[in-house]
Amino acid sequence: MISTELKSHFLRLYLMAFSDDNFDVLEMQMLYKFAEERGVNKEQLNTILLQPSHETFIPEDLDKKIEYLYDLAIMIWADNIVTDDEKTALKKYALKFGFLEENIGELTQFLLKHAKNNLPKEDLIKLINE
Amino acid sequence: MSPLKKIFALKNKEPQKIDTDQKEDIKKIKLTFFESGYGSSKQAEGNDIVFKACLEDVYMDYKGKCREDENLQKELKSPYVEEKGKHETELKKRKTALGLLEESISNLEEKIVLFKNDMVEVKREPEKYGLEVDKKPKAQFYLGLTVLIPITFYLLVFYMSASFSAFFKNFDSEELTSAIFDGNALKKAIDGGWLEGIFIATIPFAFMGLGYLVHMFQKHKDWISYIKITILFIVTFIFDAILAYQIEKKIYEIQKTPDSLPFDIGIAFSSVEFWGIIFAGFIVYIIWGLVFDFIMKEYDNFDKIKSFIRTKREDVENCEINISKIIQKLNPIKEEISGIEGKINDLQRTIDGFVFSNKHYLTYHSEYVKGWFLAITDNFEALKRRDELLSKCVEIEKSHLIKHHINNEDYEGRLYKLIN
Repeated sequence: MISTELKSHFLRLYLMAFSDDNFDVLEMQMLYKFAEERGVNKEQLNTILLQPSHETFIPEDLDKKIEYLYDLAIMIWADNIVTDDEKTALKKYALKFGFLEENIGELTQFLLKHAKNNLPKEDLIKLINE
Repeated sequence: MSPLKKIFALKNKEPQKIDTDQKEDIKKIKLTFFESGYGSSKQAEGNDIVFKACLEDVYMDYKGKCREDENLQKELKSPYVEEKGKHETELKKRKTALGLLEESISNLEEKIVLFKNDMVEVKREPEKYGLEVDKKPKAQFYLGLTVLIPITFYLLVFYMSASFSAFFKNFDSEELTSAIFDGNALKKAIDGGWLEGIFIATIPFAFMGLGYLVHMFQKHKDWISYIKITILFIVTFIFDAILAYQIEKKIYEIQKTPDSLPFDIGIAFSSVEFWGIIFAGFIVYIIWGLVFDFIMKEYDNFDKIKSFIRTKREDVENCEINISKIIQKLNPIKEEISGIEGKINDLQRTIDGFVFSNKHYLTYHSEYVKGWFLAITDNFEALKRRDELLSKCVEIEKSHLIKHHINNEDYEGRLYKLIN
């Protein structure tokens, strides 16, 4: 079962997707699918969709950025399957968080690998900062 | 840096250049304006009419420079660009929502077409929809019904008559011919009292009820149902046998001679009438039960199709309700979209136009005025003339600011939108 924190985190990520210039209906449907699979219902998403104004929130702190992306990686593994769509989404968010484009592939792979093994967030941060 | 840290390296943010040169420029410009004000005032001897023209000239000159200064315009327009970005995000959200809702409508419409198609097709190919029904349920149903109705009448008549004979009839020798069947049973029973009438009229329904129960029990194909059915048949048979025994006994009582043995089951079983009554009642009752069961099954068959169609019709109605709900949501979104588009267009016109900075202008304007006034004070020794000129110039300055709406310091910039 996905935690409420992760749910709201998902919704934040969803919000970020809106600030993307290439965001389209297909991508939206993909998010709907992700959401449904993770216990975030359509109503919750629609509320956000039709909510007046949002500030797109991207964490400033590097550790926070990694934490958020790691949450997403954990969420992707929630159903024990990683689809190409999910990988693309993770890459997209990593880019949005300001990581270097040439590292995105490696970065997402690293996060997914550790998310699969359920490595605690703190250990992951330590591992990176070593 | 460790290889992992390298992976998590962030893009470098462009360092904000502190433009010291620009600050220097501003100082210089301010000084230029001051000097220009001073020089012009000295030249024109502080004349208020010349001052008015000079202020106008300074204003127009600054306006032109402001328009051409790309950096300044970028800075002044940035809140509008930012706002436009926000509105564009909102627009994107609304359009996505609209797209999704429209797609839901078309999905529901497709479903409705499918449901309607199923409603037509199910009659032709019920197996396709998992319905095991006879191809001609209606014909068999009506055929069965044609048989069942006369048998029902027969049972009504037979059991009324037999029950009357068994329970109420007083046999005498003239009536022996109608011992089993009495055409006037109901009339006679009514004559005997309304309770007797009701008893005779309703007793056949007890048998039909038993038949109905047999049909209901047959629906559950388990051994308990079969036991219940067997018990029902035994009970009906016993009831029939009691009726036959009663009638037979009454006939025997009338016909007996002093030598005759007392009536018992053995005598009843060896009597033709006894078995005649049982066959005419019980066997026909079994036939009635079987026909009833058969036509009920046929009815179920075409009821299956009917209920399938009914379900589909309900599905169609639900889809239509959902469509109308979505349509209700669509209109506000469309209105919002046009509202946001309007705002974006308006902001775009601002961005395409130019922003006149009141704040910046007032800085230079003040310097110019300061220069002008200082020249008056420096060059006129006569106090009266000096004060006269200064007050006139103050008035001119005030009217200049009012004329160009710069007297209000509540806002910093004046928008010059691009007119399409």
